[in-house]
Amino acid sequence: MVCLISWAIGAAPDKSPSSAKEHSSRIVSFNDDIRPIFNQNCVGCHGGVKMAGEVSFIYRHLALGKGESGKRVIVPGEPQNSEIMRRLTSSDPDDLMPPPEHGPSLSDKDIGLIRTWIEQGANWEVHWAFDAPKPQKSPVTKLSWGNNRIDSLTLAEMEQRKLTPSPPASPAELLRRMSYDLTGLPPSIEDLDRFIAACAKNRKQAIDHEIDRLLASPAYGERWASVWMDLARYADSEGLGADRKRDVWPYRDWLIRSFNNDIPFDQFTIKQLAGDLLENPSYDDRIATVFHRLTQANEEGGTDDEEFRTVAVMDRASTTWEVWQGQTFGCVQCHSHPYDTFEHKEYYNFLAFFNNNQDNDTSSHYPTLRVPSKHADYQAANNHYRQFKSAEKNYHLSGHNFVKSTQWHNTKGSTVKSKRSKSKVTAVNDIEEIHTEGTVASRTHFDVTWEPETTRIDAVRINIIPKDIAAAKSLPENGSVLSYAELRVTRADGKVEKIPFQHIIPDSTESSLNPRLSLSSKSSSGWGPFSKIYHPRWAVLVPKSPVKLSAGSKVTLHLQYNSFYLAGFVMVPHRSSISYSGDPKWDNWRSSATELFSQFSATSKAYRKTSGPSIPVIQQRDTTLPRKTHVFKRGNWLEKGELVEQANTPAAFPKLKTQGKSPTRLDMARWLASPENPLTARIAVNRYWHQLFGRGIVETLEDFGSAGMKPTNQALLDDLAVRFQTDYKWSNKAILREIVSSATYQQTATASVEKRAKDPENIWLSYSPRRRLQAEAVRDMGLVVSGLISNTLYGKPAYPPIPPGVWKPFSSGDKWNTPAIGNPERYRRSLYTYWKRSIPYPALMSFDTPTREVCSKRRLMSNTPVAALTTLNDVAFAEFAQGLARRMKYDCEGSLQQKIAFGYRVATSKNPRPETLKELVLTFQDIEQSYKKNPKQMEGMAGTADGAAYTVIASLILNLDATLSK
Amino acid sequence: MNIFQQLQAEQLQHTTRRHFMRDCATGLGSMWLGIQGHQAMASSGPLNLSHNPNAPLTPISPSFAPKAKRIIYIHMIGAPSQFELFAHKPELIKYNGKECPQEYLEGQRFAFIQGVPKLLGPVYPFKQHGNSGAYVSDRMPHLAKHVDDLCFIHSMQTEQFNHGPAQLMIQTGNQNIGHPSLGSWVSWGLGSGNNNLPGFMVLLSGGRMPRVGKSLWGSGYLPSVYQGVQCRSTGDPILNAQNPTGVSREIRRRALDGLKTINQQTYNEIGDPETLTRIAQYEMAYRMQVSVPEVMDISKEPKHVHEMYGTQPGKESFANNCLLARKLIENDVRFVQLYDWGWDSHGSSKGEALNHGFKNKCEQTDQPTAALLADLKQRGLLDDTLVIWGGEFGRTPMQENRGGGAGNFAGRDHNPNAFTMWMAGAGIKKGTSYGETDILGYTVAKDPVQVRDLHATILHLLGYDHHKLSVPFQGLDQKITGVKAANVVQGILS
Repeated sequence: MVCLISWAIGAAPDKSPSSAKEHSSRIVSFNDDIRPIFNQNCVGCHGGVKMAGEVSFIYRHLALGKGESGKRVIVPGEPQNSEIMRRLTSSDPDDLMPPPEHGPSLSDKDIGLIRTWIEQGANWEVHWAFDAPKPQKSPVTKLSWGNNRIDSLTLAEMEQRKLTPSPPASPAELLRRMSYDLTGLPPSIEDLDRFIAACAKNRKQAIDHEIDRLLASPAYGERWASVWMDLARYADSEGLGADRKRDVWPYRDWLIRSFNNDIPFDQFTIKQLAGDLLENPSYDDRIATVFHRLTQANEEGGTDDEEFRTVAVMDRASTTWEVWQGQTFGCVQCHSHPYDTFEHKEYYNFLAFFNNNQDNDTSSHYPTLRVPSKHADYQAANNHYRQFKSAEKNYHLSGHNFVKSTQWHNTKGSTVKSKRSKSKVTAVNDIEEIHTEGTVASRTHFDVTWEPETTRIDAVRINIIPKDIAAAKSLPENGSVLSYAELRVTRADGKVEKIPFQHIIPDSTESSLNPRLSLSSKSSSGWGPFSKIYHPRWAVLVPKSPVKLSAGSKVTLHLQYNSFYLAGFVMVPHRSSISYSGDPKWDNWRSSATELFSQFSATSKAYRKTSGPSIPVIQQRDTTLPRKTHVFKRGNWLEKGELVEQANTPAAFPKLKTQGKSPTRLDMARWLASPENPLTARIAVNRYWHQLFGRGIVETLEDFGSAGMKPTNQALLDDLAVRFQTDYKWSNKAILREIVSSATYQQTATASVEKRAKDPENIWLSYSPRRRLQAEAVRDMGLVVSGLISNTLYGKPAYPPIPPGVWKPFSSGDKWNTPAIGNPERYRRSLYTYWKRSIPYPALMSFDTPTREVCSKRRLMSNTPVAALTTLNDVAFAEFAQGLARRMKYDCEGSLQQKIAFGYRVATSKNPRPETLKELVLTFQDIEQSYKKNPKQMEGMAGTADGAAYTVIASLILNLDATLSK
Repeated sequence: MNIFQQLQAEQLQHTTRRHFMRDCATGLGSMWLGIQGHQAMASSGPLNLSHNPNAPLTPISPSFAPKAKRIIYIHMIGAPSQFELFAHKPELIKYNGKECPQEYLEGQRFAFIQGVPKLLGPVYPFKQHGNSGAYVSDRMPHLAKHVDDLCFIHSMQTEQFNHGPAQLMIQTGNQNIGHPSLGSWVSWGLGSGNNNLPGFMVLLSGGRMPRVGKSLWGSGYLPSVYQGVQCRSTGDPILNAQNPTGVSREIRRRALDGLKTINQQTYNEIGDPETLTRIAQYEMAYRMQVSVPEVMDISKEPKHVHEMYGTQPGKESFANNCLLARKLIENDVRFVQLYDWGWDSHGSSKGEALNHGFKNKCEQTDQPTAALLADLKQRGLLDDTLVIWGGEFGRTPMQENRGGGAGNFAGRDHNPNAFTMWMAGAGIKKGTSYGETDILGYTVAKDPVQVRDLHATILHLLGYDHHKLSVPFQGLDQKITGVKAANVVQGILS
């Protein structure tokens, strides 16, 4: 049975502007008129998720097809022969669409629109956002107004709605707005005085000068880094189970530097997504890749690393789409997109770009990079790193090549004895394999004994094999770690000689553990497929000198597997085999390897001397150990469906250009930052617009798909997007300067009741939006106004005062030590605050910061009593009040009125109106009187009644609407 | 025109689906103002899901007459063992110490069990109680007296077997972070019945935070006003409820009067309606500074109440939280969530052993839970209050053998295939048991109840069709029951 459904039951009726227009005489637009009707009423059943009756309204060819009933749904030009028209208007409740139980019938107007649209040929249009933006002509306006192209584009929209622009903001209002918008900090009194004086001489010149000053301020980078940190899901802890501390702050510093150095947005994109794949990547390039290591990790005991690796990889795919393309791609994980032209499989095509990264949710955060504490040392560290990697490669390759060239013997007639677990020798395809039996306990040791066919043993090779080789390639098994190995030779006389190994040649240098630890019995760590095995793996162990065997000697390989991982996983191989080599040519290798090893060892030491944090980075997996990417059935990672042959971008977008044989992450990153991509620049400029005006040109920053809101001014959005790429060469500072320089931005926020009534949400920008400060700026304002702020840039996370009882981390080692009063580290800007996902800093949370477990595209601004209690009572804000009180009392000379007016101006950037000053002074006097009458009540707060009253007035000023808004 | 009338006059004019999300956040201003005089009335047809943006805690009219008006949800963090509490499995006694039959191990993923584990018989004896004859172990003597008010669901199943994801699953309907919790959905639907208190409050005991922290009571993609407000039984009951040293309530009042006057001047000058909202929020904050500590203060309760619950004022304890739950419910808080940490009885240490730590947890919680039920009943609150008890998954009938060796303490691994929960109060069939497990209690044999079925049933008791209580987000009509089919469990309804 064919079935249509009202997809959003009870949702408010569509209010798109076009639905109100007459439709009989004009061309009906698919995007403006028809798609919204389909999306709201039809695609719930006939869309990307469900295709009830084999009918879908996502693609034209399907909509024009025949449904299950065999009747053509839409016949272009012939509404009378289109089944859709019959079903929409049927009086038979069994035929009517949408079915009465699913929702009300379509309005006559909507049915009329569909009829006209079919009559006119049922033309389909690409969703607006999937067509590349084009340069715009300046529209003709009645009024001559504005400073730049932005203004004619906004003015045209205002005039259509009979709105007129507001007068320019006063210099104080404007400087406050620009200062918060560009640097996240308020202007100082000196800044204000200077700017006001300069404006009196030449307003435009003064503004230009001030914009330059603000963009050049280091605070600019801090402010814009914190915007990006929401998108990057930046946190100093790993999230999920244990939420342990994780060092990633050099990435935050990289962001600050990138914004301050104005790295073009295309480069900024490429470095974060594929900095590791650039030719000769710098340390900064590698640190940029932390972006996608900010996914959550799960170190809870008993959690499956493959499961949470998969979760992280899916997050990377979805986050990339959300940050750069504004598309809700996550839903395609389970099924084709409900509204837009993304197929289920395309999600996995895209996911494949990230599926062969080395990281695998192990608790060491592997792979990591040692980062010097000072940026000046990066170059030297990079040299050490490269030398180490090159020496490692040389040493390894020499062994690897030799292993391939020499002859190997399989064990014959071997026996196995094991400790703590049962095992047996089983022949598989004529090769003797060691299989465990029953329950395998941790710290299992194996002694494998055989009589070699050779007279000497130069090397032993351990093969570790998945139980099911074919299945493991797609769904890996638990891995193993060889903690220690030694050779034991039993001579004919029964004497046993124990021979340690000197070299280990692993099949791949890619390992989160140090393979050489297998050579020592002191550590439980060592070589092995950790923590999962996808492919058969091997390592060759070489003793210092050949082991010469006399007749009747028996050889035993003693193997210890002592690692017990995440309190749940026994790292013992269930299936393994051994072969050996006895060949005089090994003597040559051993002597050449000594030199290579000492180079490897020396460069490794030099690199490890780099003092600073080890941070998780993205690195590509060894090509010999590829992971296969499958479609997950219904999004379930355990149900592997169709194999994905190679990574790709969705077909609804311009084609991916590939530089090498197969598409790489770098190709994908360049594709995002290419001029053909219809969305990257639009998303970026819209985000800046949202930050500066409090509302994006597309309000739904998170959804540029057909279910998101349409741009209120597409010409403006597209013009900015085009110029961002062309005129401004992706310079963030240039596009921000353009916006801030516009007359639209520079209007006053004061607006009459009538004006607000015409446009209460200020969509058409005929007055300046006035917004509450963002969370970071609220606290930073307190720091500046109190005179306490530390202007130090960069470095380890800060631990400002936190209310008692809040800090109860799950892992007790994670300490919150607040520096003492007076220590500048206590007063760092908010973006440096230690960000623990499970215990977010309360003063920031109450002003709407996300917890950053996942990418957060837009903060919803609230106005709650909890926020009020924060700025009134929080320990940190009490300290700010004391600081501002001190400044009023001591830093400002003059009368009480002058002191209080000074405090008001420091916080609000303007002089109090007479009635405001009068109220402040009156309040001060009442409070001072109260403290004088009862001096006991100021104990622990101030020594004198006026000191106490200044503190209370300072707190009042810090809580003013004028202080908390910009 | 006073400022509140003016605020109403200034409210935003229309709400599209998308605006709903934002307006509730920005228009929070009068969340505390618009809720009086609104009575949730049953109405037929589709739900009207758009809240008045200036009164987001106004109830959404339910689809049908609700049985429950309030909920107390007791979540035992770590997953208590059903075999030592309510799941009577006599066969398991026989199998104690024997190797687990292979059929139970095939194709299963375990968190900690390796290879072939041995079965573990119940550590404590069971007896039948009440007219209903429900089995309860000797660890819950007080609760056992209430079995005729309870409905046990022995056939709960979940899809997650690690704590973090499983806790999220049962609290938010999804194993990932970022979805609204049950309490948020209820608060979104039912709003708040008290204009001085939030609609959804959270109380913790057991000494540790659940591992995924605030996400368990987060509002996900619903506006932040619907998130749970965590209250503490020691120290400040809510953050920053106390004035800074040296600021008395009188001085604060005087300062707020000044603040209000100046903010009003700012409004007169600029005309931004947000300024009015701010004025209202500061007044609400001032009231909450008294109302929240007042309701959270149990020291004034009579002696017999303390004896009944086993409460000690000033301590962080499950008992205190049970008493607080009753007080909050009495004050018309819609959803009270209790978390008690420490039920993860793996047997890997003394604290995590069924024969040690588990015993203490039972002692700490048995009497207060029974007292809460008795107290609600005697106050007539149990008729329209739903009480829910459970963990995030069940435990295995097998003895855990972490690392492959035999444990020194009795313990069980995580088991998502079967666990027991109980419900009591509004709309629940009293003195019944629902669902059955196999003879070993490893998996469900009859009438399985998925987490989404549980959620659908809870919403049903509140008068909501779970299909219809949904919000569009990221291209999907999001609801707590998710995308798979969920069914109301009719068999447990009265």
